[in-house]
Amino acid sequence: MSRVLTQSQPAGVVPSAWRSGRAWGMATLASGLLLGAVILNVMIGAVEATPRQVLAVLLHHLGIGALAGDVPAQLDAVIWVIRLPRVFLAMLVGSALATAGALLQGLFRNPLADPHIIGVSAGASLAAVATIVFNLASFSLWVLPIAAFTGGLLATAVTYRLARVGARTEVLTLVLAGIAINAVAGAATNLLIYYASDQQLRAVVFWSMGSLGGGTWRAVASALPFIVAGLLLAPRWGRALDLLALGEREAFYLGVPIERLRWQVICVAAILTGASVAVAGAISFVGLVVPHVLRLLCGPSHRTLLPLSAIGGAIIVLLADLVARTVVAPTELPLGVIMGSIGGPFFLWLVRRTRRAQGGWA
Amino acid sequence: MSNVTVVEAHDLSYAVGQRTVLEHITLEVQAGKFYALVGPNGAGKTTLLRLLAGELRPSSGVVLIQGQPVRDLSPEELARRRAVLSQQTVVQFAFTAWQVVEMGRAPHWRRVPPATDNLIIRQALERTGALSLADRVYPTLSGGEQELVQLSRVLAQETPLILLDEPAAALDLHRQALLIRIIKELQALGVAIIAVLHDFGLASIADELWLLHRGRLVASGPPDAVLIADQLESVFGCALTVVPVPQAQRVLVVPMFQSPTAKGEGEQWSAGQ
Repeated sequence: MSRVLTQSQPAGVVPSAWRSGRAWGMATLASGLLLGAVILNVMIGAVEATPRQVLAVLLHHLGIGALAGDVPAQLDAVIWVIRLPRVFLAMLVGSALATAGALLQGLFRNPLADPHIIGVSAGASLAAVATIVFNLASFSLWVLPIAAFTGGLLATAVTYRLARVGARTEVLTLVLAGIAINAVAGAATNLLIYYASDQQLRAVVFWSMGSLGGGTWRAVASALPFIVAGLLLAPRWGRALDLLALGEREAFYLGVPIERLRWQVICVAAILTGASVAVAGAISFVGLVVPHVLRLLCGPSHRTLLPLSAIGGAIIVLLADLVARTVVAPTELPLGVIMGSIGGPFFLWLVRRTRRAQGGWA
Repeated sequence: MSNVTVVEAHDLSYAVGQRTVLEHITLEVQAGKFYALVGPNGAGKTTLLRLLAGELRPSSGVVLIQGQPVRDLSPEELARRRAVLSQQTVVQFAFTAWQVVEMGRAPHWRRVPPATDNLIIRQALERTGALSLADRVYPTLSGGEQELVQLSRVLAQETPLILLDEPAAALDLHRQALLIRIIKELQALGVAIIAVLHDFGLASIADELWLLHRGRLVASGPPDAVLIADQLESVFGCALTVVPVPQAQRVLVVPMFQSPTAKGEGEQWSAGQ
């Protein structure tokens, strides 16, 4: 008889993560952390602001400024024009990448399926760079996100086809397919860079490193509809992705329409990745680290993992951007550098840990 | 047991490219009966199971579950009518045994209150003796334990038809006895069971056996009509003997041991030494 079942639980009750309150606790904690990270990001910089001033600026721009005290016009501009859009962008990009990572890991039944590793980001970057070099981005606000989405979608579809042997997704083939896509997309991107003008080159370098330096309200507006739509859709597939952990065949036996689920999830993951690549370039490891840490804390169920990943991703990118902006002030480091230096070692730890305990991915 | 037909297959054929896997299979499955699907490796047993499960589409012919063509049913409707236990199920991610069994309730989601779900999951685990594994992490369980948890999941699905693909392969003798008891209990509840079996000892407790050979149904009927030495010898291509075990109400099928020197090939082999 199980100790937990017979002693500490009433008969027939083993609650799910949400029902037990553990996930709600995590969600509350994470939301608190997110709020804290937002406030820190708005306050800290070349010009320091107090929480009171931040609040005043917010209220002022929401049209209820009369209630708050006066804020110097310069500080108002710094907070409203520079910091806040960047904060929003960081949250959108972080949520999008972490959720895309959680979706892809569930679909591929493999925790290594990060948008960066399996080449989605590379495909999206290539498409984004192509629109810049061929001067297509100036037509409309939406050209860049849509191009990046299409590139990401194609890359995901190719990886998925290559990595599936029979009805299974092999880890080795998955990683190798990712390497191949990264190489091909990288080569094509480099070729485009070779023909780019100096001005285009600067924009292209921005994409290859990943940065929130382009954080304007315009950028927020261009990514917002795609990312919000993706984030709202993702939790719908939590239960189906859980069943998919048994294998595609078993998931079908339990009523999951596999073919439809596959394309829906790939499309949404590509939308999320594409939109974030379009505004912030290729930021690695968010999609890998965040779902992983959350799985360790809250268990593997995608029903909790997907919503929590959105919050966790926002926190990680906010904090990484804070470091990127402040550590070598007045200049700033590319965000990709920060994420890579956290994510790389984490990835190594992950591989070691999995080799030690062959009990499956936590 | 009342004669309610759960599954019918009419003139079922299945081909992959030019290769015909199954030809002209016609079957009928009654509620509360246990059917054993036997035959040599590659005879098409698992393929037939997947056709009946609605996973594969037949090249010709039709499968009806409870009178409705399988191809007209959505995956979820199918999942409320039949459950399938595959040979080996690898679970990625560290789900607990309880969570794996809970997945069996997926087709009934939002149709019953959560408390009922929990009760059914608990009963399913109790029935297979796997309740003590409930909070263990599935990938850390042994092969036999994983099999019991998967069997519990299939029971929790509560379907009138259960398909089992070699359910006894990873089970020791004690657990095989448990499996037989569970099958008998399900039969008493009116559940129809179809199992792919390599062990004729297990197959001989079935109400009806289906002997498949090269994609054709070569014999079907009660155990004493199918488990005949001549018939099995021609299908399996080896000498064998059928031993009744009245104490266990079973029949054992044993391949005859041939020493290397007993036949022509053996003589050549020893001559070559």
